Amino acid sequence: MVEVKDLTKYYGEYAAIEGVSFKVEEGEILGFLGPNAAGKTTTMRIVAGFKTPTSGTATVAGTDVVRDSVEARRKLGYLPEQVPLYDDMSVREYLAFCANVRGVPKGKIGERVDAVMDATRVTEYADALILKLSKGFRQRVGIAQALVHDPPLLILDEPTVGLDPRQIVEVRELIRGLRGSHTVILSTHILPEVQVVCDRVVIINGGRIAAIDTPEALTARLQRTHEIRVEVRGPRKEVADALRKIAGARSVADEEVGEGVHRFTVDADPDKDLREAAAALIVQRGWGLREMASVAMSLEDVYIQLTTAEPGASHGAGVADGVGAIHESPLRGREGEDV
Amino acid sequence: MRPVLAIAQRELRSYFGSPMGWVVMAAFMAFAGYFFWAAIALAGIGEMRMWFSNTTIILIILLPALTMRLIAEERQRGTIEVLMTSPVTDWQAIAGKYLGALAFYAVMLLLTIQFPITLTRLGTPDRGPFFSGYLGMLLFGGTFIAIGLFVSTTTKSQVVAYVGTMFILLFLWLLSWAGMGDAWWQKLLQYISIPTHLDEYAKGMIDTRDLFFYISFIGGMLFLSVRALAAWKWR
Repeated sequence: MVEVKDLTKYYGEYAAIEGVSFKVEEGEILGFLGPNAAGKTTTMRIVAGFKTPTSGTATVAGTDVVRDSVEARRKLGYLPEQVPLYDDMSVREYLAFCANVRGVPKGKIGERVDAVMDATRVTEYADALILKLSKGFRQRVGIAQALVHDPPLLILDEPTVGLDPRQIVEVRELIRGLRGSHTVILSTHILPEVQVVCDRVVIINGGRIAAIDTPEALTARLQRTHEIRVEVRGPRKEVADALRKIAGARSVADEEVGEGVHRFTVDADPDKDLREAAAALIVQRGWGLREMASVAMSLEDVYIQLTTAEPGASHGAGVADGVGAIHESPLRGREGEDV
Repeated sequence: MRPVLAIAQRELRSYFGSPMGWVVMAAFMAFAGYFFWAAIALAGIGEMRMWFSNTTIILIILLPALTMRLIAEERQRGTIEVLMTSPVTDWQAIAGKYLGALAFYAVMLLLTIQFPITLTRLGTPDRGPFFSGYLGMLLFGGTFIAIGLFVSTTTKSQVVAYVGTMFILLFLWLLSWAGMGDAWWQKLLQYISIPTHLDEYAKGMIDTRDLFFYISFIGGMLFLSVRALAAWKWR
């Protein structure tokens, strides 16, 4: 559906993206994951026909987005990052305008507008001025706008940014509902979004692609160690030494979590699961085993590993479980400024 | 053609929905009315020729306020991103914007036909110059709007678009002063100056050379606007 080859875009001297290539299959939801200013918006703008690449090509359903720009744009709907809408129009008027400009047959405009308002659940505000809508509703109108001419491809730039948790869930539901019937490219810097919504992920950093794969495969592929965590009541040093002697263990770290209780983190070879051996050992020595867990590397760890320059600071350090919108790049903030 | 009309229609609607549209229209009507009635009351002049030429000066101040937003506002607010990722050519976008602003200006002009109507009630003036004068005003304003549209395409600041456009319009207006005389360069300046051509219309003459001048000036400005719009893609 989309084929991007060797895309490079310079803004003056500064390369926003360099040699970006990827493919999106029909009906697939592709996540574009990367820190801010990584080149996500630039890539999407080129595919959507808003910017011209310095070099490289992009095609939408076989149509080149530069040589045959208007034809390519017919096949896609685009939601820009800031959700720019004409504030002085009502939702219905705005969507009808979009449908009209994009060549929806005159007689079908009303029907299409009603359908997308229904799908994005903005019908109750159909006649309200866009100016008066909350952020969440603006976002939905933005998605409705991208859908109104029923394009096979949807490009959504950070569709959930700035929404409250419930709205985020709703928007994700909406996007997931498009799987199969539409091809979707969405960008985000929020990890759970990718895991929840996307079939495949492109991780982009510093204008270059760091990895492309399914969320699960990426995690598996980059799983360099298998880690277990045990909480034990017992003499700290002896326990640590004993754990270190288990076959396959590489290193042990510990921290005190209570009176005489320590949490040990044991790194092991990826093909080894030390849980049973560790449990047997601890019980055998008469220490108190309070808790044990196997820690798989999350996509978040993978992401940080791939997008962090410092080699030492990669694995799992300081990672909170679950939600994580992280890693503001301190480097350049130029992307997205220039419209 | 459909995207052009859709964009023009939206633009026209937006003028009527914005304070700026109403302010421009009210100011125009106030000054236009003053010029008309003052000429009758103070000087006893019962014709439109003076009115046409006086009103053009108001247009130098007011029309840039209409055109400044055309592209610059879309750029500033980002709505251009949705518009230009729609299957719309650069020409269609520019033509739609142009026609929208021109239509609003035409409505402004239409409201002033009360003046010539008043004159025909008061006496029996020659009606020919009314028609040619209005045609001249439409072309004249149309040229201003084309210049304003071009300037608006080059910036994302509406203020810059306003000041830049007004500066160019004033400059072109002043050219007609420098061009008073018979030397070849003065004739050239006269030709380039926009108001010169209006005077013939106000007198009741439709000269094809003047018509050609306005149409080609507008065409040239729209062409530059299209190029300027396309150039943003490369930035």
